[in-house]
Amino acid sequence: MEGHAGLLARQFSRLARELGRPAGLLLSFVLAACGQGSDGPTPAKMEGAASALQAEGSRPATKASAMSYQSELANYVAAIEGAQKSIREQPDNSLLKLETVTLYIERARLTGNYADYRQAELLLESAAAQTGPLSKACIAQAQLHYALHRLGAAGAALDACPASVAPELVAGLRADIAFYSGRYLEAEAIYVQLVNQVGTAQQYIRLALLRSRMGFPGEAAAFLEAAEKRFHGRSPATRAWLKLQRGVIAFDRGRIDEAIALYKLASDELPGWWLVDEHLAEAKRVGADMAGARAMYDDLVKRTGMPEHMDALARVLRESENPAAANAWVERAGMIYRERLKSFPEASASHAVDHFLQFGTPVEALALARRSAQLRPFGDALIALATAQFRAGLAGEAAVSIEGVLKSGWNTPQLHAVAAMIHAGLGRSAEADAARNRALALNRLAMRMYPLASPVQSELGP
Amino acid sequence: MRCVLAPLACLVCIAAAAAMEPAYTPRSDGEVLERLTTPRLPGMASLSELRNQWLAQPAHLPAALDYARAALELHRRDEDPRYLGYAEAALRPWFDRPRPPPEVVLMRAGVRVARMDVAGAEQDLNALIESAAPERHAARLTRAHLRLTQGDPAAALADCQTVAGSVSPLVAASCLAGARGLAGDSAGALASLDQALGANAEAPLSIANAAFIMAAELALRLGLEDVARAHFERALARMRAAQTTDPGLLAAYADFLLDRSEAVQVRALLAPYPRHDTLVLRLALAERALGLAGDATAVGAADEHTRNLVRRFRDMRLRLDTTHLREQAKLELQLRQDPKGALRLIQSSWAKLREPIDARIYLRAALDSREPEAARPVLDWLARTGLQDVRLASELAAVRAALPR
Repeated sequence: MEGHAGLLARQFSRLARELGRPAGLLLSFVLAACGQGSDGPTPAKMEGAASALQAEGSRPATKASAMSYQSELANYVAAIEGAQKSIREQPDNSLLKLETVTLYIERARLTGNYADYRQAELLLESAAAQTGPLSKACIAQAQLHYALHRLGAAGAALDACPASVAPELVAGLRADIAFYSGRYLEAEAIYVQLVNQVGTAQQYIRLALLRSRMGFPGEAAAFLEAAEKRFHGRSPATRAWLKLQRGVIAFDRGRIDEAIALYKLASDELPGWWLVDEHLAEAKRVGADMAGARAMYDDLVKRTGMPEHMDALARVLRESENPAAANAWVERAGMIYRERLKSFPEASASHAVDHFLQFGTPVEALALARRSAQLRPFGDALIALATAQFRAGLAGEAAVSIEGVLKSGWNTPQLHAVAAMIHAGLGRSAEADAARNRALALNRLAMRMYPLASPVQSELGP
Repeated sequence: MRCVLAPLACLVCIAAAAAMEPAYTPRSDGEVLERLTTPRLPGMASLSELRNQWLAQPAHLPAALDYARAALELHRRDEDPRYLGYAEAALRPWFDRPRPPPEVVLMRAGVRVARMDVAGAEQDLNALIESAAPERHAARLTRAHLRLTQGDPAAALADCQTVAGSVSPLVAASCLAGARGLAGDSAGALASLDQALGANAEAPLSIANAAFIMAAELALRLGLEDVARAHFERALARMRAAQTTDPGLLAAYADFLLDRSEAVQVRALLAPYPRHDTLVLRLALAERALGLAGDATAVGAADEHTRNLVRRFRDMRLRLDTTHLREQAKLELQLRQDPKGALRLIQSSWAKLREPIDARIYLRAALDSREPEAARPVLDWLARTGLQDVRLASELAAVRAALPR
């Protein structure tokens, strides 16, 4: 059974990672709705499009046709090694450190490796220790806080930005913060303004991701196509990411075949990118190709060592001829999540919720979900909170949480599917049926794709 | 009935059935025999939709689980054993595996309990409890409840205590209260459970109502009738608001009302449930009481319901279905005035079910059969558990008085 936070939450969190921008090549997009969710180690999305695009123009490019995830990663490794060497040679050069911070953040997005966030943080601290607060570092600082789910600190960093910083960068990040704070109207107003005034691919992406969560997936897909048309860079990762997002929107509409086709196009753009592969694996699982999904998750676990992939593999193994094979992966994933929660308490809370909802105790899951929703009170985090509350037997509180999301304007199949199951649990038949109908209108597979784990009960029945 | 593989056996069955009662032939094509509704649970697809989805992907476990889960839930609601068959059919490919998925094992345990295959259910539950699967918590909780129905409070308490940290507070409180109450501390158990109910007012319906029923039962053991009635009525209000059916609640409440000679209320309560054997039994008891009080129409209704129940129980035994032995014993004891038959039935049931209600039927059947010695297992059980229940007092006193000193 898929854990409560469900597929959607995981998808969204992927978005975070999706935005990775390969050093040197640059994927400067931000993906707003990306990291939303729970899983991705990299939440940040909306980074400054401007800086990204500038970087795209200034950094050495690799031939797109020769690019793969491995070569993209190798570029980052080389760029960071070079930057570190330069820092050793010029230890007082704070601007160099800031550039390197950006490289670490970008590589973290590409790989999902939290250690790079730590490196970025250390470098920022080092630069600030040398010269005092760096106004020019405001964007990098904000991006890092944002990626680590520290919305308040990210906003404070933006407040410190001097007037010389491109206003669209600041505005975009402020809107992203508004989005993850649940202030969707405010976010949308800025996104629309950025589309109309700046009109770059990144602005379309931001608007697309927001609209996809507001119940307008067709419109969101059109915005993504518009973004693709406006993207003239050479980054295969960006092109892959854009196709991946279109696939995610199709997936969330229950159009699994279409999603798989788009994911494959994404994979063609940047072969070997785990982010694309995990989406493909998930689509296979939902499409009942369990052997295909298992093979991909097996491979993903070996390649990435990410606990999200271990959990996904465990879910598939639980249905296999040897369900006990799942246990080792669950245990290992749990250990990694616990480590992450110590090292990155803010960033990892939302990512760990899914794991603990399915494999932990209700108390653990609820504590994490509350923390996550406190840090980023947006739709997916609040749906995860409602799920955790329901699992913990707090069905009344769960209904209040889910009603709050409904009133906020959030409008996804997962929201309605979870609402249907919570209302059903409370015996509110009419509300449950209405919510189910809304879920199915958005995604005919919604009730299967977003199952809600019930509280632990006796199988003897009431 | 499909007579493909075993036509001879089918013929034998049909012949046997025909010998017992002539087949009914409708007088015309327009005659309505039964109005069928499409079974459906709130917020879920109809059972036929889930069935179609399963049939489209019979090897896809989530589709099979969705269908089986809905069927099991409908079985709990409607007490129709066909739903158990649906669930078993959907999960059969996984049942047959040497190591089925944990969700399947848990569901199979539920099916086995419903079929009174207690040994099979325990095997499944024990396997899950010893595993690292997350279902081990639900399995342990289920085993705790199974122990309660088996009249083993110590074993139940051990499981409840172990699982308490892994379940919601009200589920834990209900489990612990059940064990404590069965061990003789109904007052303490009721106090704790009332506190938990107060603190968890908006628990899911099934959890809350299980707690209300448990609280009412504890109150009845203590003779606190008003408290019990309040708990029953709160649960009933929730059940009605949810437009669902909880046969366990209805049966327990009806027993409470029957004990207080509130037969009119029982008739109103249970009339809408003519397909539930456990409820028709209570309805017939109420009608019998009303008949004795002078309601002529109630006499005929009681007789008809009794005949129907006799036929249903007989059909169940023909199918080797050993469920509802308790109800059949109650039928023989209170509606058919056959205490010896009732005693044999409750003795069979006692091997698997040992709750206060079973003890009461057992004691009364032994007394009315003039076989007080037969009640020894109940006396031993009461001594072993320490159970205190004012509802047993008069029968207990009579049995003890009848036994040689």
